Amino acid sequence: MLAVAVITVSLFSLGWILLGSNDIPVKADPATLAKGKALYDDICATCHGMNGNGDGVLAANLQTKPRNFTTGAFKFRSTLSGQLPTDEDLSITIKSGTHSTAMTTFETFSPEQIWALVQYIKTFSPRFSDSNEYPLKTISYGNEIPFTRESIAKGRKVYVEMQCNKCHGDAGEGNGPSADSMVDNWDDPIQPSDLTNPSALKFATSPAEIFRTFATGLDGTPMPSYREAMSDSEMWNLGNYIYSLQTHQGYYEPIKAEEIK
Amino acid sequence: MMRCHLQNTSVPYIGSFLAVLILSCTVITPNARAIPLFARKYKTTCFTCHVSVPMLNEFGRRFQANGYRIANSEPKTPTWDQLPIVLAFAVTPEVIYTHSKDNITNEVIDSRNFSTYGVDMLTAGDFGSRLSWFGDVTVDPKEGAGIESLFLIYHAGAINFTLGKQILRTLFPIQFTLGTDYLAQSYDSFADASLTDKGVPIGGTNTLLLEEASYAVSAFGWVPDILNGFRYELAFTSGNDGVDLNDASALFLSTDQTIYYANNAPLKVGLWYYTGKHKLYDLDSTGAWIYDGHENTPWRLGIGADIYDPWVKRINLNGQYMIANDDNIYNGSSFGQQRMTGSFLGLTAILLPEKMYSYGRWDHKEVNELNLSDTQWTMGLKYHFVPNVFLSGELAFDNPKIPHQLDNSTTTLSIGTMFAY
Repeated sequence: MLAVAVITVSLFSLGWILLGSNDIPVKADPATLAKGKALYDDICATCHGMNGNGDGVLAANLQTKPRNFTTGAFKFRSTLSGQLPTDEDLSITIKSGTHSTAMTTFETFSPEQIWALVQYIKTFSPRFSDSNEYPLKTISYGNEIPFTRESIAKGRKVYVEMQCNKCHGDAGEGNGPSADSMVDNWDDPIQPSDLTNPSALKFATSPAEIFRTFATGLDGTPMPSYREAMSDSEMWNLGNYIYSLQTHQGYYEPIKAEEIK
Repeated sequence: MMRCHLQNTSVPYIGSFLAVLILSCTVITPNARAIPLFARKYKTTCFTCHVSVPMLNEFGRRFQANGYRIANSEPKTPTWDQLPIVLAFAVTPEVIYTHSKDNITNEVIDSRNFSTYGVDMLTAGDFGSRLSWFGDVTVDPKEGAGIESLFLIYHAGAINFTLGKQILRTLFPIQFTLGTDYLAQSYDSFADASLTDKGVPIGGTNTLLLEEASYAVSAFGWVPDILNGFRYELAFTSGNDGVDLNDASALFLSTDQTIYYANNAPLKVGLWYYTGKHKLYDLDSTGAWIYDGHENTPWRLGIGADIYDPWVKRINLNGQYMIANDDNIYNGSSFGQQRMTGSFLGLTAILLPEKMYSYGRWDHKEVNELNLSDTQWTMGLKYHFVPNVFLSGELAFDNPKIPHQLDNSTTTLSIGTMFAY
């Protein structure tokens, strides 16, 4: 009896590891895909379209356009720029929603429902079944730098050096000189986030989440990855600075771009 | 919602209106939300469910048809700290300028009114995965407080049950209208018949006006597997004023079918029907209502469609044809049949996403027995400063005609705003 239990647990664990793996494409069973399709067609298609191309009937009335799933480009990931998201990344986005947009939270869905949705959404892009896209590499965070005045001041300097102000404005209010001319990969107008407004920022409830955005970039938007351009410590300092802007508790020397030069 | 039109109040109320408007525009931050209840609950904006408040979009209609829940979701019973102790509210004041001309006597009447829906205090929530509630209490400084709607919902998958005062779910539960009513959908035969003092139903105006809440028990739901979604509702109601079931009752049926006919653009066709029985009452010499021995068996039938253009999906066309039949009401000389036929055709255009909208509507109704016809044109423009604050203007032209009795054209300009939090 014990042996049967051990074997069962071992097989289950192996299955979970394979299913949750970022090393190879996950192939969901037909029943899961059918369940995911039923949910998607009823709920998600109103925005994302029946074919996942982001062209649902609601899209025309939304400033932040629904994601086009057919390209496999996703904003919110833990993976390197240009890579596919992990299943966990997609699950988190579905479950938590992206506030201040029409993407509502689906936290009342069961884990099985979200899993089925993730697997069905992945069928819209052939990239998810292409073994050349794998393994997925998740970012590393390095050594966290505490949220201190010193770090915030350094972050402000990085903000200017990296020319974040060109899009996000000197005060981070999303009104930089390039702000009004930006478009995403689908030529839809897109506004840089107001970094001082916590309701306008997505997945930025901590310096670590903001660090992740610098490291991964927001694929499909003009926000690139700075992983090659910044060190981990610079991204932590910049994350602390942005966090201080949105929580209105920070302190920084108002360094102008001219002073950096 | 019931409206309270307060007559002959101009300067002080216009001042109040402007103050509210300015306050709304300056105090509300861009992160404020639109429909406060469900936007808060689901951490989203009003545009998830509305084209522009109050017109529902495709997601909002599905949400409503699922009993104000996302399909297949199973909310948990909230803990005490999650209960909506702080109620959401909405204020919708408007200024109405009316120019009315009697085309028989050439008499002209101009009036300027300040109108308000009062303050709507809203509440909704869950008692676990199966049971939820919805409530809307209006507090008006002149008329006091009143329950607009309050009902329980039992969720059982593709079928939900409700009990309480509620707006029954037709193909067009609410559209863009600001200051004007839908002539056909608002048709109340008794309002016309009560030009006499005979044949009036209990309560004076009790009937079933679909844009107002009625006391009902209802079974309704959403079946996503039939093409791209089938909605239905079957209700038993005592009408808007909630009188004794012995005096008035009706059976209500409403269905519609959605298909994505091209490029994710939906086409929806539907019908609703209700039939019932009213006892007719008259005022006696003491001012009391007495049953006059007559009963009316009314029925109403509406057939409608709603379609988005398949190219940019920014144009919505909707229309409805309706027949209203009463078999036994007093028409001025005798009791007998009275039938209204009417229709409306509306257009909504999204000019700027989440910002600016325009709409127009043509309404018409005819009542042969009264020799009455009424045609109304409406056009409007709405602008959202932020999702939960908008400014709206509407121009309406109405021309009811009863030959040799009534030819009274009215032009109405309404300027209103809404603030919800």
